[in-house]
Amino acid sequence: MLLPKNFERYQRQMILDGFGEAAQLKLANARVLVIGAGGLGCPALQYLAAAGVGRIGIADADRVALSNLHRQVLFTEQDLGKLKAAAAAARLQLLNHQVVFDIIPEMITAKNAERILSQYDVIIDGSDNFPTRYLVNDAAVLLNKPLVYGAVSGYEGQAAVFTPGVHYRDLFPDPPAPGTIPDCTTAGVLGFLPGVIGAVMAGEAIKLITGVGEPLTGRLLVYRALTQEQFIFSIPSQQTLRHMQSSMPASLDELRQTDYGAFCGLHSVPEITPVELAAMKENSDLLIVDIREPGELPLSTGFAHMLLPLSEINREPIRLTASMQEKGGNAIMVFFCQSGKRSAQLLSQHPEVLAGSALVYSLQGGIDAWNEYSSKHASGI
Amino acid sequence: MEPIQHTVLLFGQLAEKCGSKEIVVAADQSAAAVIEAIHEAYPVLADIPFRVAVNRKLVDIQDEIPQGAEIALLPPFSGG
Repeated sequence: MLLPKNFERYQRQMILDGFGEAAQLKLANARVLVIGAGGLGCPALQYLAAAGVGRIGIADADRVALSNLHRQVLFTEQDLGKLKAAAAAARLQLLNHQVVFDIIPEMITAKNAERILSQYDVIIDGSDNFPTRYLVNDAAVLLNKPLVYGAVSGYEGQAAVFTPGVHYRDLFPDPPAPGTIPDCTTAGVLGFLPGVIGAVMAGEAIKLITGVGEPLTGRLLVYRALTQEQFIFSIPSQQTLRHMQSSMPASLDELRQTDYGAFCGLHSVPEITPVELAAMKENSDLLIVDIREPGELPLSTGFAHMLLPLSEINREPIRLTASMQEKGGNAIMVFFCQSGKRSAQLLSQHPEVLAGSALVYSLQGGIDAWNEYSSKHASGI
Repeated sequence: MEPIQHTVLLFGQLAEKCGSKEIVVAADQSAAAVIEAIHEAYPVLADIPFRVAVNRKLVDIQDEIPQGAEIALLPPFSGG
């Protein structure tokens, strides 16, 4: 059994009624996986590391961006562009050198979920999309691991503890149709809200590990930041719920074969790189479409293109197919936005466009990537 | 049976799109009837998925709703 090298650091929590040395030793011997080092993951990681959890895995494939800093409080301006998993581990190691950190700069996928999750005692889901949430839930259930869930939207947050007895699919059996529930990129989020929910998630993990208190097992906490109201709803298990669907994989083998993107209604999107686009720029069948909203900068001047803001497409989806028909059957269409995320989402949510006769692509990395490419190749473009 | 007045708490996108976090609708005493009445009165909510809770417990849409119960509609959140 591992012993914390000094107890002084943890003295304030060890003098709590019902906590003590036994609870501290349980923390020191615990392994916790935090999926997503974002708005929820950052505060959760801070409190877990500070509390003395022995081993912490940090799984995130993203890099730190400026628009992360208002809520992802582990990172500084010097971390911009760095891998979140590595930057978070470096910062947390300064907070507590006794903790062992596993840097996992990967997306959790159906293929790697078993390998990664099986190394830990408690899983924390601080991811930011439905396919990952269903995947992590299913993997945790099949591996018999407790899962601490948290999610935010606008000014509200949710948190719960799931077990194979009552889990995410008892709460939300079916994923929402693409586009019906916005993420933080489109809905916005107030920085302190994931701070509150992330701290709650760390607290639930600590309760599960130490046995102190009553975790939110089978209960959903809903927090309204604007009114400081809290609601707790009990979640009946699937046995008492009649409309549970059977799309959950029955085994880890089945899970590995499951396409969670398709399960959530997302289709894989063909992408084109700036290099490839530059090569076909003069093709007369090429139609490039800027789907950003009016006023978004920089304007694109390097190539002929039309403007069709995403908000207009959402209002009148027919305009999407109408613009293709203008170019005829040989059209090559390239949609772009700022970062490539919205254009990929657009194609993923409108499979009818991909099914048409034209070749359709999303510009990988968006106008940002195009400008970076063209500034390096200024003479040719 | 005469419809009864139900108080319904809205969360997430439902509250945002509706512009209110609490509404009152008249409907029979089943969750399905309450949902139908809400969608009729607030068509803007039609596309948003949610679970129904009655007196702080998630229920099936076939379930009866006792008079004076607190109904809550909970959409899924994905943000992190």
